[in-house]
Amino acid sequence: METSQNPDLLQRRILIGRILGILIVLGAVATGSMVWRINYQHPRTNDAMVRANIVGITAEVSGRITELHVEDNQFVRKGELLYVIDPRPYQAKLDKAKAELLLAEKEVESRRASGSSAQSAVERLRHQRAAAAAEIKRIAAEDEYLHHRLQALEPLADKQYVTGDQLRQARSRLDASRAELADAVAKEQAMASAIAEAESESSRAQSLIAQVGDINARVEAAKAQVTAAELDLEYCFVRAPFDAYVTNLNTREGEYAKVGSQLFALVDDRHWYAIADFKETYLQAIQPGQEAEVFLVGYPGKRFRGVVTGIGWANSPDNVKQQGVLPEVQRSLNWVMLASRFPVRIEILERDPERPLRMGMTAFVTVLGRPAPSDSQTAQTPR
Amino acid sequence: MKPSATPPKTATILASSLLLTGCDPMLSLQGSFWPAWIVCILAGLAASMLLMWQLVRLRLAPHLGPPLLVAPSLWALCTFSIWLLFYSR
Repeated sequence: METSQNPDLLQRRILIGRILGILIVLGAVATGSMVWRINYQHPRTNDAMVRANIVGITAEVSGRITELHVEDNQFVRKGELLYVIDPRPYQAKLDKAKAELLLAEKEVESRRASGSSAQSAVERLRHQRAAAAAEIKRIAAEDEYLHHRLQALEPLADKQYVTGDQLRQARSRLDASRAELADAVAKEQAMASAIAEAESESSRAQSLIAQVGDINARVEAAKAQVTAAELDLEYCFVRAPFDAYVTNLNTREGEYAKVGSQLFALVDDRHWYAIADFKETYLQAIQPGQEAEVFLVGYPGKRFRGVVTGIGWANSPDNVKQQGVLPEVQRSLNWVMLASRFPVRIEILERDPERPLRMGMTAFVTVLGRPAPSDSQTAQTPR
Repeated sequence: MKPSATPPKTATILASSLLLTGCDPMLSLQGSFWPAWIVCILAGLAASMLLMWQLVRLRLAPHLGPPLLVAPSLWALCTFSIWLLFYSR
């Protein structure tokens, strides 16, 4: 009846309806493609968590904890004293090492003195040997004279110009001189072997001093002992290596700390990160240095600025399993494959004292296509 | 037909729920976090129903074209528009 009443109105309705219908379909396609484009250009994921670097605080020397200066969840500044291991045994070790250093220095001094006396003994023996050599020369010269004299006397004795007694005397003087020469040679040889012995004694004394160039090995070894003892004593006073939060502290004074045992952990407050697991299909759109927005579900309405610092290089592959020495290959019929995810590390640059970050918070991360502004490269500290 | 008090009420609830979440990309319900796309799909469904109801009221619905194409397209349009409006940044 409306048709008959208002054919124009119906025509207009039909026209408007057609146009609206087309606009609705085209609008759906257009907005859909916009959403797809934005999603690809600014990848986002809700598979993200806040994390910080965790450092386990470990005792480097064994002993009973005598002082514990921190509480669980407390903030500590770099260099702040965390706890003290009973330093008395290590102080005693240091005192002993210092005393041993003094002893080593004195011992080296005394060895130096005995070394120089051995050296002077060698010199003295050398002089004596030189004197013995001179004596041999003197006796040899005299021996030669006596020998010539005997040779001169012997023809004269045949002609009776000299007496037999004079000839015998000359012979006996030559014999005596030969004996004296042999004695002098023996003495010189004895002197030479004494010098060799004294020299080896001297070099032994020099070795015992253990001096190499300007360094004395004995003293250096004792000094190293002192340094090690000082270090052990220093290790009794455990300090915070950086600004951090104490976490998982469940012990008090009196606990026996063993070398290598972790007493609690520190959460590094200098850098906070969001680790966002992005699908591999989005990784092409993510580059280190890009700005990112981190939204924490614990703080609705607050967005933290961040910067992509890197994308994980390795994930444990799903299809490589090994049983014994052989790969375990599953029989499967996978028609729909799920994209792998890779952890993208985003450093959170913005901090808010009202909204402290905690490791493990659920985050929502959007990587913006543009690079992060250069002034935001340095993190703003809340304190 | 009931007076048109229901649609504005629904719209208010819908708008307030959207505004409450603000631009947060997640809706938190008692410690469970719902992604934006679920919120958009539900809000888009409500908005498309509202729009379709208006189109029916204005007697334009029969002339829009094949309902099997137009109705899902309207839902998709509402869903994508809401996402672009509230969650694209």
